[in-house]
Amino acid sequence: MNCQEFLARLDAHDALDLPTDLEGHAQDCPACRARLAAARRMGEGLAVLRGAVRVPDLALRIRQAAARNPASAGSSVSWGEWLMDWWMWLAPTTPFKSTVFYGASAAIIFALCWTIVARVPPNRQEMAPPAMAWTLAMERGSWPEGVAVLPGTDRASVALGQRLAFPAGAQGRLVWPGRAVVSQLDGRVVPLADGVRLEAGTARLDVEPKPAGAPPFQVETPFARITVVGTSFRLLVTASRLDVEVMAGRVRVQAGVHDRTLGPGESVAVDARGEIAGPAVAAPSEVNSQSDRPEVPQD
Amino acid sequence: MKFTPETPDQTLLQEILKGDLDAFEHLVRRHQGVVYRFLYHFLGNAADAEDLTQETFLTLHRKLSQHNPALSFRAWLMTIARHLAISHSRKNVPTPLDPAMLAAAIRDVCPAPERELLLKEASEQVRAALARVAEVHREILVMRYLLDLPLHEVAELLNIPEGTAKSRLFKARAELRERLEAGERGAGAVAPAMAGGS
Repeated sequence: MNCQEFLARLDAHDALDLPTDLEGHAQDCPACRARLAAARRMGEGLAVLRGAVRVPDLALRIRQAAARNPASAGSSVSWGEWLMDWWMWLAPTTPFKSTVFYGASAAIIFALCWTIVARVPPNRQEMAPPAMAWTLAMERGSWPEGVAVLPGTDRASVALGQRLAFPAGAQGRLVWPGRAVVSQLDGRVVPLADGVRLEAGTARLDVEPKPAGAPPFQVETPFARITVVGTSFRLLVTASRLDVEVMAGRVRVQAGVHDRTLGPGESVAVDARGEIAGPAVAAPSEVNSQSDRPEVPQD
Repeated sequence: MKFTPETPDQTLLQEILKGDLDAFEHLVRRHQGVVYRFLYHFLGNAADAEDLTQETFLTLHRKLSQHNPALSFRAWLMTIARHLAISHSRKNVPTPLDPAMLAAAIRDVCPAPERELLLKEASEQVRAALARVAEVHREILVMRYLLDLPLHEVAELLNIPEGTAKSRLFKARAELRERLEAGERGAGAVAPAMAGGS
């Protein structure tokens, strides 16, 4: 008998008394002798412990507790008990359950980590939104309502999507540094992430050529959308039409199915039906020139 | 209704469902021994064993409508006790054995007085080692050797095939023996201390 056979016979023996044929190998092998001694102590100890218990009579105490319990026999199980049952069913109490439990846990953790890693862009800086800070400075008249002037300056920071309603006769400069300057007279304008929405009034726009990779500057109006590459132009939005007048560069005007590109000195008018009239050569005009300021109906 | 030791468990269960507390008390008296002894040996603590025996039967009382009559009632009862014991045993510390009870048990095993000290020491060592054995191994060791149940009944109470019970018992014996060996090798001072502690 070798040590492996000895161990197999030692542990596989179901009864507490040990097989007698193990003695021979144990006499020659100190390690197996120690194992046999431990197995003997185990058998003796278990035999003593088996009898070293006195069972108290708990029947009456348990009956009284059941009688005190408001839940009657067979009543519904509480959520806590239900959860405990599930945990006991799932708990890694056997080698097989442990394998399943820890395997499933590892798979879930891996999947979560993978999801998080896959969502993070390789270079956060590439994905960072462009620095944008529209500011407003008034040239004439009072400030639009809701605008907070920066302390110690004559400018106000304007949030994206914040509607600026200019009082009649007021004129201001909406500046996106390095990108565009919108000189607004009367009416309402809303700064956006890629341009402005001109809802009413007159505006002159000076737009720098767009940086590589940046989206084109856009002007939304009730009647048409104007896409800018790099130019200077003037817009007048009234209740019934839009006038576009280009001073420099090129401007594309889209109104419904109509599409027109204007060059320097050209102008068009877009009506409420989306019809584009023009082009025509525009007369020189400036927003901040009070004399040629067109009349702007406030809706 | 008068209940006798021959009244089947299923009859008692039906009466309990109707609200008969006499039937419940009768059922508790019939099965409290196996439940208490299992919990006592598994937890190593008499007070906890009493509390969990009560909790086992109260849980059974609440969940009685869920019991499938086709399955063994005893296996279901022991499943409740095992679950409570496992959830409790992580915060449990075995307490010393009652010396009088231990002495009586030793006399039952071996009446020779010269062996008394050795057996006392062995039982304390086994008890300490058993508390450190994995729960899945401890429960099968307790059922097979301390409750003295035959292997087929242990398999039934654990809801596992007999072959699985046999191989699990093999590993459990090996683990307990190795822990005893490790204790003997590394704790010459521990054994007397434990023996003296009782």
